[in-house]
Amino acid sequence: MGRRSFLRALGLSGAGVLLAQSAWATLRFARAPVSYGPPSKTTLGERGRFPRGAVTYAEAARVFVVHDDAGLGAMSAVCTHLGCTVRRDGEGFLCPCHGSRYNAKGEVTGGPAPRSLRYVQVEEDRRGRVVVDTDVEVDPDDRLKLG
Amino acid sequence: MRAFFQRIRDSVFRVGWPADERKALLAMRSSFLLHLHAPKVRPASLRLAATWGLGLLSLFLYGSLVLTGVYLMFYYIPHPDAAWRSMGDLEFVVPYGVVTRNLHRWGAHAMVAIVLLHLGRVYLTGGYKAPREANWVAGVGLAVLTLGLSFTGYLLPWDQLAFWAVTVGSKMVASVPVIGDAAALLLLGDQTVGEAALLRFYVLHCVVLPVALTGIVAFHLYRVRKDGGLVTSEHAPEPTEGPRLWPAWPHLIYRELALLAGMVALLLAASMLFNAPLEPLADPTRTPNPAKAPWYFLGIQELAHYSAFWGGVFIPAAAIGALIVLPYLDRRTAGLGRYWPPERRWANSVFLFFAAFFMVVTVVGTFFRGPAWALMWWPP
Repeated sequence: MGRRSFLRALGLSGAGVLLAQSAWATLRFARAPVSYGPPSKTTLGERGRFPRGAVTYAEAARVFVVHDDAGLGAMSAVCTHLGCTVRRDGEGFLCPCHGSRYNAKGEVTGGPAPRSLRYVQVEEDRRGRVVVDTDVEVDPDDRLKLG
Repeated sequence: MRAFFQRIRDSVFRVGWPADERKALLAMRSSFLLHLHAPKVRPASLRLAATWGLGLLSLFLYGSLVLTGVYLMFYYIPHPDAAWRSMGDLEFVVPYGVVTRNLHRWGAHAMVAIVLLHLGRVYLTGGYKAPREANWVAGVGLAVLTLGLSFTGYLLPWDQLAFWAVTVGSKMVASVPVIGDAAALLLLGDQTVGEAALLRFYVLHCVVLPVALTGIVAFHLYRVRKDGGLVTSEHAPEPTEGPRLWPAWPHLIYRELALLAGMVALLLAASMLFNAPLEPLADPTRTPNPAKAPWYFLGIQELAHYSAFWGGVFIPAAAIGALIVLPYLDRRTAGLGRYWPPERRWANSVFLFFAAFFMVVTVVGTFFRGPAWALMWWPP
């Protein structure tokens, strides 16, 4: 390899490395490990807000709180198709964006939704208030047993 | 004193008013703006139906959008607590705020429509073929950037429509296998549409995409001339009398000015008669029913109704990919410069079929979809 072609290869690969590193840095820069959005855990308040046998919409966390014989459960109101907020429609739920339909348990009965509504974790904090964590998905039959 | 001002004028306009043909040709070569055109043009290129002036109108609308956009930036605050309120200020407090916003909104709608028509015109006349392949690809890029600008601009008013259209759009991105979630996170800067997303869309809308578009437009205009100007038919009748080429000043420039005057009148009239919509403040807990994107995305929304990934992402991406590789596959050069030549029946039929398909899903999505995206037979 002659001097010229060596220097050219050196210059080109130097520029290439710089470009690749810049592209990588740009991607990393755009994904900071911080969230400016609402926290995934939301305190919904006293359990008395959610009467037995009822399904109550908790706006703060976009969940429907289900209180049945087994205890408290939280079903996400976020449509599994494209993330719109579903609304009650008779016994079940309906998404206003593309018409996905769910039954009372959140199972898909129509429309483009690929899966049933997510159930998320319900806990009680030390003061006995109901807390949901919308990042933690749980089994649809899981309930927080109320003592 | 007079000579002093004369010197200033001559330093800017080297040639002076092009009163005769010699001066006209000199002006076309020495003026910064005029040199975008060749000094002489074929009479066949001057017919309105040769281009419908669509490229010129796209460029003009882009310029006017940059201008009105800068005006809006003086009042607009890209934060969820303040964005919607600053739209209200523009609407009710700022003198000429409404009409500035209207010009920006209707200009954007017009630009999307005209850019797509421009793409259609170039396709039908075979303008993508050698030696214009690279410029066609640049043009496809410009169309994509135009849609990107309109998508990012859509979030900025931070009203219900903005919030939900972008929520739906970002979930479509997330529906892409493997890389979808990472791409959506990159776009939104967070799990949901919020503070980070608004700031990102603002910077993309006001800086990143316009700078990219301006650069590619410069390349696009340069290559139009370098590639030999407008694609014309070899069957176009040569003028039997008079010169084969006409000076661009005044024949082309005056036609362009007339077209621009018409566009300005139309845009001003629309902006004084119709106000850009502004819905209630974005509310993540309540989705309006129905939640609809702007008309040019309703075709995609209609397809997404069937499948988020296949309809919302795959089909549009495949269409763009097909347009990009097209000039490197379809290399026959017969029938150029005409809208419906026998040699291009097949190529043009395929294009018109897809264009008609896109228009049908757009019309269905716009007029025949009611609450919960249910089919209905008459708009409310």
